[in-house]
Parts: sequence; structure tokens; C-alpha cells
Amino acid sequence: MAEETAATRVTSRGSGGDGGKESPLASQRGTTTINDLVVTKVAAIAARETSGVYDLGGGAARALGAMTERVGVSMSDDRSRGVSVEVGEREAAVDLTIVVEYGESIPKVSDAVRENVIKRIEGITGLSVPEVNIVVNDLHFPGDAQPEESRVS
Amino acid sequence: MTAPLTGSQPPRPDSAAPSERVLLARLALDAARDVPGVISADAGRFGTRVTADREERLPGVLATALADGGYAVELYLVCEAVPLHPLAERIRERVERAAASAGLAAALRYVDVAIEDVVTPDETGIR
Repeated sequence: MAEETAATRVTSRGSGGDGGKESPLASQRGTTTINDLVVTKVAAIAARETSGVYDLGGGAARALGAMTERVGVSMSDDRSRGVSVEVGEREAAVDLTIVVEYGESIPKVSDAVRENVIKRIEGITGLSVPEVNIVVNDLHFPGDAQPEESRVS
Repeated sequence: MTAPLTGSQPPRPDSAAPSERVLLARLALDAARDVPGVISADAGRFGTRVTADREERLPGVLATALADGGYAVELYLVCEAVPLHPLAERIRERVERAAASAGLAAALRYVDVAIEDVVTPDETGIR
């Protein structure tokens, strides 16, 4: 009876249906809920720590991030730009937009990102990750991010 | 004739002892904060995840009465980026132990743990 109650509570809170299977995060002693923001953040960190990834996010998001950084304003979602997640009771699907360093193999970098994101999310949250979709939005050339020198003295 | 304001008034009663609900919420919050890996409790954007009475306000924990007379405790927490499922189990165990040592084990039905955010090592200085 208590098991049914716990499962019902999880179902009512979960953001996605998983075919009625019981969540590994539910027990008779209570449930564990992991906010989407947590999964987003873990995915972003995992992607950033992969060799060959220069940055995350589309052009507009990165431009805005660079501008806010320049004026010393830290945006709360800076760390999670370029990441979109859909979190269910047992699984999380991840969409990433990344910028790859010029010269790196995009397939290899994508595979490495996918592997690291899955490893981190499964390790930290206990959710399984059936898919990580990656959009390579741009290439970064050395010197691209150098601050522009002033034309006037 | 009015009585003087001081001297003849009955002694003011001590503030009412906290209810079982507030006691459970307090001990759950204290127990959760003591677990390594837990950074803070989170009352939510609108500050509504709070258990309060006249004496105190406990952000990030909700203790709710159930139909059977017991209480459900919900904890909303910000944690380090460590494996969260085992961490939630450790929190749950710690809360249950604290409730048992306070003589409130019978009143505690279940402990729900919601991880609202994780904090990376470079962010810990910010929070």
C-alpha cells in the first residue's frame, strides 16, 4: 500500500511519463526529486570539461554572455546556456549546442561530449540518459576571443 | 477605574511550545544541513517553501499533516555536485534518526528530498 502511495507521488510530480515503471528515485520512505536545473547544470559542466569544446550556446547567447561578463554582471543561466533538457522520472534527454575548436574532429568531440554527459548525469542524478543530441553551432579559431585593441590612443 | 498596567496583571504565559509539525520540520532541516554535501535549504523563488509558526520560520522545509495523523516532510535543498541519490538516502536516514531520538519517529511518515540546484566548487564562493 505504501509502495503504491510513493509511486503515485512520483508520478504526479514527474514531468514526463515513463510507462508506469517505478522510478529508482522513489522508495517507501520518501521520494527524491531532482530539479531540471540540476540536470541542465551537470550536462553543461560535463560538456565544457570535454577536450575540444570551446563554448556552449548559439551565437546570440554567447554574445550576450560575453557582454554581461564584460560589464561585470553575472547572469544566473550563463552556466547552462546551450543546454536544454527534458527530465522524466527515470530518464533525461539532453540537447546541446556547442562550439568546437577549429582542427578538432567534430565526430570525435561529439562522441566524447555525449559519453561524458551521459556518465556525469547518470553518476550524479541516477537518471539514465537515452539520448544526447548535439548541434555544432560554430568553430572557434585561435584569436577569435582576443579582446579588440583600441583604434585610438 | 482602570487597573494599573503593571503589577496586578497576571503573569504572561510563556510562548506556546512548538507543535509536533514545527518540531519535525526543524529537526529535519537541522539534520539535512549536517549531511556532508548539502549546501543550503531553498525556500523557492517566492519563498513559499517554509514551515513557520509565531516563533520561527524554517525556509526550505515543509512539514504537512496527513489524514492518518502523521506528518510528511519535504526538504528543498541545494547540494554539491555529488551522486544525488545516495546523498538523498543519507539525508533521509539522518532525518529519521533525528526524529527517533526526539521521540517523533511515530509521527514521521516519509521524507521527500528535492534537489533544487547543485553548486560547483567554483560557485561555492559566490553563495
